[in-house]
Amino acid sequence: MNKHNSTIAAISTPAGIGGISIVRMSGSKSISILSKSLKCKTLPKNFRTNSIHHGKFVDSGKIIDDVMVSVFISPNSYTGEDIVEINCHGGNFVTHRILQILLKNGAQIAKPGEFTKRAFLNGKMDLTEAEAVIDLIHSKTKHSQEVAISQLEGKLYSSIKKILNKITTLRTEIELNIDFSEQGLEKINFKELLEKLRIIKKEIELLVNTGNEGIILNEGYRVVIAGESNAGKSSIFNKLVENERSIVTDIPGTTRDYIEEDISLQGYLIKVFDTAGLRKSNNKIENVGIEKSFSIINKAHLLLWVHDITANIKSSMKSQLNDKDFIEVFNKIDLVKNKTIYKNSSIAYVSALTGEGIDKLKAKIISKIDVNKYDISNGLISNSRQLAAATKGLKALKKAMKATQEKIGLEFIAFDLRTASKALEEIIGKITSDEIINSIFDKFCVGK
Amino acid sequence: MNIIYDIIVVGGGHAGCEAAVAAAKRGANTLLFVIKLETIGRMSCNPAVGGLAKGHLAREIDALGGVIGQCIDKTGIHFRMLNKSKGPAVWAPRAQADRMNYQLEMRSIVEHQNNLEIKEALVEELLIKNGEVKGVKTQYQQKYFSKIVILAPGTFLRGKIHIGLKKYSSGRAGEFSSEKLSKSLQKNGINLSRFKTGTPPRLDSRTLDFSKLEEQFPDKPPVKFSFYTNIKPKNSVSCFLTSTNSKTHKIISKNLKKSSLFSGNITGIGARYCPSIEDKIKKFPEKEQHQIFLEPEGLNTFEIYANGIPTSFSPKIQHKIVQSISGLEKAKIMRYGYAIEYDCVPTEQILISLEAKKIKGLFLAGQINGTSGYEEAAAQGIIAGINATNKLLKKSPIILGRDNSYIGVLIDDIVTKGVDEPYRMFTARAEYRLHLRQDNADERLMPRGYELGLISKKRYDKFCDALKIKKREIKKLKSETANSKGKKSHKMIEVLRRPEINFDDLKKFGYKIKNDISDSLKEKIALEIKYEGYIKRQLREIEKFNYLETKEIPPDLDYMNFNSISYEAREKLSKIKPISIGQASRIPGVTYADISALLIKLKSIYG
Repeated sequence: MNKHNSTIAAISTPAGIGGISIVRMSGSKSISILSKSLKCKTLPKNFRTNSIHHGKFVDSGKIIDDVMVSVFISPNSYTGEDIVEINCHGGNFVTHRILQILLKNGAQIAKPGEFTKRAFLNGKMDLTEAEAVIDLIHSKTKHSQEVAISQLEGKLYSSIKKILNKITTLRTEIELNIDFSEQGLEKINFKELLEKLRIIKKEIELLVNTGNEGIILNEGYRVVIAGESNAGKSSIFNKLVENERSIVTDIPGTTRDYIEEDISLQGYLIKVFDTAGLRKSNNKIENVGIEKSFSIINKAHLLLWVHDITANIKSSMKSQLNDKDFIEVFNKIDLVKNKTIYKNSSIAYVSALTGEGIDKLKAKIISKIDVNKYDISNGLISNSRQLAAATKGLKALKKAMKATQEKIGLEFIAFDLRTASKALEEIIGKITSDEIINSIFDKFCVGK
Repeated sequence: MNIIYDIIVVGGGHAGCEAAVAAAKRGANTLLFVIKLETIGRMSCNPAVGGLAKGHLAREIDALGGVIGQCIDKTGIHFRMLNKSKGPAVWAPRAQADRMNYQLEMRSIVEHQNNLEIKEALVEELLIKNGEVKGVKTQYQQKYFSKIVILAPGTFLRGKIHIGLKKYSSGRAGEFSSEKLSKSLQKNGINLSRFKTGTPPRLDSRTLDFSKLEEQFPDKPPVKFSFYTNIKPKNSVSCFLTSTNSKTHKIISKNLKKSSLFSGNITGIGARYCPSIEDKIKKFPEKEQHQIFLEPEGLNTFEIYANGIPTSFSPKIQHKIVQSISGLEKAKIMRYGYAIEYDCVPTEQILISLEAKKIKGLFLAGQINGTSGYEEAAAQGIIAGINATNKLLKKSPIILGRDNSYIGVLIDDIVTKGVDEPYRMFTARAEYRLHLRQDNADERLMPRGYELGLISKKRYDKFCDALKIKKREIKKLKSETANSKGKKSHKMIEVLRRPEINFDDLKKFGYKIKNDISDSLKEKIALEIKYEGYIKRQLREIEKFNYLETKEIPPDLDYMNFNSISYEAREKLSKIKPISIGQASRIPGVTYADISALLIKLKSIYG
């Protein structure tokens, strides 16, 4: 009946050889599965919560490893279910062997984020916390981890809470003025209201801006290689990602779709995309590829616009690329004898064949990532859902300002503010109309 | 002589009258019990109908086919549209009634209603067999049988009046309370709690110094409550304003110990929005004055209602308080203010249809459900009357949504969130306030009222005609071009969108206004066009809201096994038994996480 009653297990330490690895198992059968392969002074069924036990992990009578087992009994655990964590000696072989044995004995392999999902469903953490943990699991680089950890500590929560409190105060005043207008209260001063709204707007704007940065840190900085056909885009891509994934030929139009690879540059997660060459073609399949290229380009944070330095430079397609941030890249400098022409410092001169200039190109890419503009310590919006909510809030706040300027009626301003509140509440949890009414009664003497 | 009635209504106040008339109109053979015939429709508190959100409720009840709107239109003596300085969604009609006339008119309405029998007797016991209501027993030990009983006893259940440190049992000043009915409810498994409310002193207008009072005139012409009736309201008197001062506050502070409220005599929970003057002074000592509205009680009396100073001090202190106020220095009190405590039923015990969960066929309406106010009571009364008759007809109950009316907001609030102080309606409680306006209550509810047989064919036809005219005019406004003397031409609708332009101003732009368009219709058209953007956004919100409202939850769902929902939420869900995910999400203590988990569970069980 209850899908979540299955017992799940996974290796919870990073892959690779370390001193100790941990295999974690969560679910109502954790203890009984463990008892099938643990030899220990205390019987597993008598384990108390928050205890550690030393024992031998065995399978069919053979000792696999000397292990320490940490036990957390429901509900006193991360997921709210019975959890055992098997600390074994690092090394892929032993760790995987232990996991395999647990699976053989009745556990199921955990999907990414499943422990956290259970923790969320069992009321062990709120939505922002859960998302931060999931971000942490998926974050591949150092910078991403910083964001995830500060969010987990609730910095984003408290910044949004502060903004929400300000909106709530304004809503309280407005509702008071609407529902108790007959009681000789001070009238709302629209000029002051507008000023207060302006301050709140700025704060949300800041959040939205950090949002773009947070997403770069978390979901990666999207670098798209584009340009004319046969300028050597795939070769540059391969040099950047340093493997031979793309099929490279000298026939124009070989890359008919796009290829994506994640790399880490100075701790940043960079997603590199190789696209089909942008040229007019009669080949239907290739045209599909070109269309796709445009959609990838639209989502890019940075374009590498590649030219063949030996060909006539045409930039007819470039005009279609809106106002994207870009770096112009001249490829095939190995074919040019006179190196003095490389004087334009805004252009990257490379040879994908020899690798010359690739490091400089990487440095140029890094210099384009500008994440230090905003103070991460205030918490950062770090996924698209949160950004969409904050953007919605900002839009509603701007409408409230317009309504205030036009003095069209307090209930309309109230409506916009409520919309703004609701959008921000999507990130951290809700405020009800009852809370507004309670706040009226707590702060003001009203009623006949 | 054992007649079996279809429906027995206990209590002839604002809830009981609406319930009895609605049930009888729909063909149910109905019996209405009142303790005294003379007190049918009596206004126990201030002599007024309407105000913020309450005016909205009154117009909705009228549109649904209730009687409150016509009753106040016939007996009102001072009409005002409140909040005119705000936007149109929160304009609210309010009227002072001639108190005596109001109750005479209400008595006449119920007496003239077919299928409705009225009897003076005190109901002391519910007759219940196998968890089903069978009728009632009166103080004369007579039994009356019925398929359904609607209880609307107001403040009469073990009502206890406090004046100073004196207390006595009474349902309203000078009237009997109902002592035994509470016990009968408890015996049948209904839990009771205790609320408190109060009234201010009433003054003799001949002893007031009007030169020191600020006059508040009625609106001319008056805006009526009832839709499509020919009633011409009298609108002839003014109200007057004054306020308390530091002298008043000193008297109150000095005597707090002698107040029934702070001496520990009163244990019932009062409403924060209707605090007694002693409460206000104690809680907000920094506030220098409190406004008082002096409202005439009628055309044939000198009695004046001093709205703003409800109190339960002793008569001596009430005198001192009143005479400390500007304009009231020589005022004589005709009737003293008092506080009253009464039993009510915590609302987790009733369904959204207003039927008790434990006793089949028993419906509750009005103050017994923890609400306060005539309009709030009347709203529940008409719904109880409708749902009682629906039950007789074996039809499912009508549930007016939060997106459709303040009545819907009211009932959803009390059954979903519970009531921990007397509940009054505010516009802030309505999420869809821009749609729930007083001007369009007819469009929102009249078709429903007509379907239910509560709105006459004649009134409904008038409504349909108005709707046709509105559509015709909007079409015309969209197609005709304004005459603007050589400047860039605009459509009429664009001209009307400008904030400073009203419907009649369109004449200047060459728009021909036919004389079949009423003033209220002109106003309605103008505001729908001016605020179209907001109204559309609100309607989109309503669409989203309805998505969750229509996600039904099976009534027999066993929440206690759902470990992924917090224990607190499981308990609350089991108690309230919400009918939809939407309702579940409004229960206090149920979080986003609980709702996500509930959705996942429902999906895993029902696919």
